[in-house]
Amino acid sequence: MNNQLQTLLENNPRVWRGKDAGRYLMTGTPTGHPQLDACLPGGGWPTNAIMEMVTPQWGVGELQLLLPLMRTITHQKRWILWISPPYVPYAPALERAGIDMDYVIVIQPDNACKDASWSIEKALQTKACAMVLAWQNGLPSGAIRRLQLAAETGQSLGVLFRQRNHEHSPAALRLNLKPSETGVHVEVLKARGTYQYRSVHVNLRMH
Amino acid sequence: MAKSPAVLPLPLLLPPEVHRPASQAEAEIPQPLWLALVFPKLALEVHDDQRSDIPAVAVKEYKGRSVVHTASRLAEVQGVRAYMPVNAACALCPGLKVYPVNEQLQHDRLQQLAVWAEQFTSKVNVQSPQAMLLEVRGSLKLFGGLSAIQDQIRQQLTEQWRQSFHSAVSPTPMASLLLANSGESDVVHNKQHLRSVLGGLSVNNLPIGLKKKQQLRNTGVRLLRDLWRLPRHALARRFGPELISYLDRTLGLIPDPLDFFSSPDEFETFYEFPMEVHNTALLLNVAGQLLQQLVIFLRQRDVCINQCQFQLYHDRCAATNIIVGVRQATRDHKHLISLLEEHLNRLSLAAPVMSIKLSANDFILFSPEDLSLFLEPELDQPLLRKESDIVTLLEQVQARMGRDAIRTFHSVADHRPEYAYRVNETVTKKCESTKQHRPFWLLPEPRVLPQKNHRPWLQGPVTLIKGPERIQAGWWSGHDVRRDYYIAVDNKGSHLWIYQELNEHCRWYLHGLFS
Repeated sequence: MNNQLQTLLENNPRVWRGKDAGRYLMTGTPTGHPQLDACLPGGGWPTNAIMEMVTPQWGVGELQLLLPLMRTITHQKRWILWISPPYVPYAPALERAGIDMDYVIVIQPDNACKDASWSIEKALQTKACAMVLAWQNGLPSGAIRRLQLAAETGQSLGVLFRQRNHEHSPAALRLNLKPSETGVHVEVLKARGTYQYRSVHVNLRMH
Repeated sequence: MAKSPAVLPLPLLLPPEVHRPASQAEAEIPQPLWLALVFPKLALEVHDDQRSDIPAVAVKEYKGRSVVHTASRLAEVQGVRAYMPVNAACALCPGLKVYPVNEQLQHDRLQQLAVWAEQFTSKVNVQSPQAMLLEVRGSLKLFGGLSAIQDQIRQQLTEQWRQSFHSAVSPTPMASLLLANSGESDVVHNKQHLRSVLGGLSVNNLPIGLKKKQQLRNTGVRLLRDLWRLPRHALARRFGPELISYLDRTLGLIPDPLDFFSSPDEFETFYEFPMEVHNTALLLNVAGQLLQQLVIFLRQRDVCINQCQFQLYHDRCAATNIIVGVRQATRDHKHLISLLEEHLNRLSLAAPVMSIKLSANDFILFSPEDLSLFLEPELDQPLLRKESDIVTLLEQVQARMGRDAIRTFHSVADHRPEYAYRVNETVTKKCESTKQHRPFWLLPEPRVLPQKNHRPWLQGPVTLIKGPERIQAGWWSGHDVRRDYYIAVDNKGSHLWIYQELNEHCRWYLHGLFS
């Protein structure tokens, strides 16, 4: 094989080959849900990356899944930005769940997709901001690739909540969530670093 | 008796009689020290195109004729004098350039000079039309002596301002002015020496009308010394009490209170483009230079700003306003530029820009970031950096989407769910978090649920799984709430927070979503 090609394949973590799955072992941040950790590459949420959560509707337990991480981040006095959330984040409940609301900032652009993706990118690039939650349905895959780079620059985790499953999204991790009676059913649609996609049921205490 | 030198040795031009000792008692009382700056060629120098190698005059109307007001040095060499008719001046000096006297320009220049002079003392008095007074006694220690101050003034006036001037220092403002006006650069430290120093000046230097000067000369009074020999009451009768009062103030016999200049409390600067400008890159470049001026202005006053305003003027349309606001008061040039860039990127110019104005008011005292004395490199610094990092981000967001786009939420103690949080308010007292289960999402307004068979319905039947929890409060404030809250599941599996109103309608509402 061409030497240059060989170097590229070996040294660039963004290029991976199926047969080398697991070679670039990613270290994930524990999710706080042991069942979920077991089926994610790296044993937790990806770091410095974008992940997508596809849900049939809002409020199926997607925030519950992220709660332990959000708790850790705000206690480390780093910021979480919520960009165009669909409803009002209810402060008493979030505080009860252990999130320090001093480190939660909500940005509500005037429904312009351009403003939203701009602010997601800026927020991801900001080092002080450890996590960006964004509710965006219509982001093209080019925009997500930009966000992926921004997340690497700012060493932050970007979470996109979407209601439709877009194939060919360049996000590092894509999960499909389905509500169930005792919690949420998580199906891994795509995970960088593995091709053994599994699904798991996570028990959540909804209320 | 201890002797102390009354006069600091100042270069040249020091008349010998000034060297007289003062008694120690007097030397101990701090007398004010007034430095007068007179700009004899101001009327000419305000015209930017005026050059020193071409003879020039500024002319004004006097008794229906155009006469010379100020003549440049070259013109003076050729015999042009003040009050000479313009045609006579032109005849004496071929190639003479003639400017009108522009009082507004002179006034503006004096104001600018006064702002500049405030770096030497806080007590600056502007003496229109072409002089000002600086009280420098309080600044001697800071600048390291009078000659150091004078050196700095001389250097900056000649190099930066290209302004010719005379200066003189004495304990009374009027004496300083008189000395400077007559072109003497004396330094008098003691009031008692004023009489002897001023005595040799011609009465022509007195700020009185031409007619009175002539009158004085006719009576044989040529020097100020002659004037002091005359009896006061006779002088007052012939030349008016103003002259006596003026002489007394000059000698420091009666007090002479002055109004001090205070720098304008707003900043304004203006730039006119040589041609019409369409592209924002060029605008940004010029705006950057204007911002640089603003930053210098802010530094001189040790203040910072919360917002500044750009106005872009077009040919036949209304001016475009850009307000650059920051969340944390600043005077950082780079930061302001980046915010402005954000504004300009979003701006579509209605018409080409002819000129641009930057203004700012409402200044806030600058308080630098507090750093801990024992800085722990790993712990403190990243936190500090992060703090400013997030502020920068929020300012960019605000510049692009407006102040309302950014929200923070804090909970407050209230039983009614919709009043249990505050938006964009810092809640200092943390309230006890509620014991009850609350949803993460709240609908901005409760949504009415349709009913089927007296059961709530949301695209399918809704099953109540927990409740009721009765919330009844707020009757005293007019926002009465009487509700039974339930946790319910819809047919898609979402967990809802719904309530039934406890009134005659018994309607069902959706109020929140558990996530």
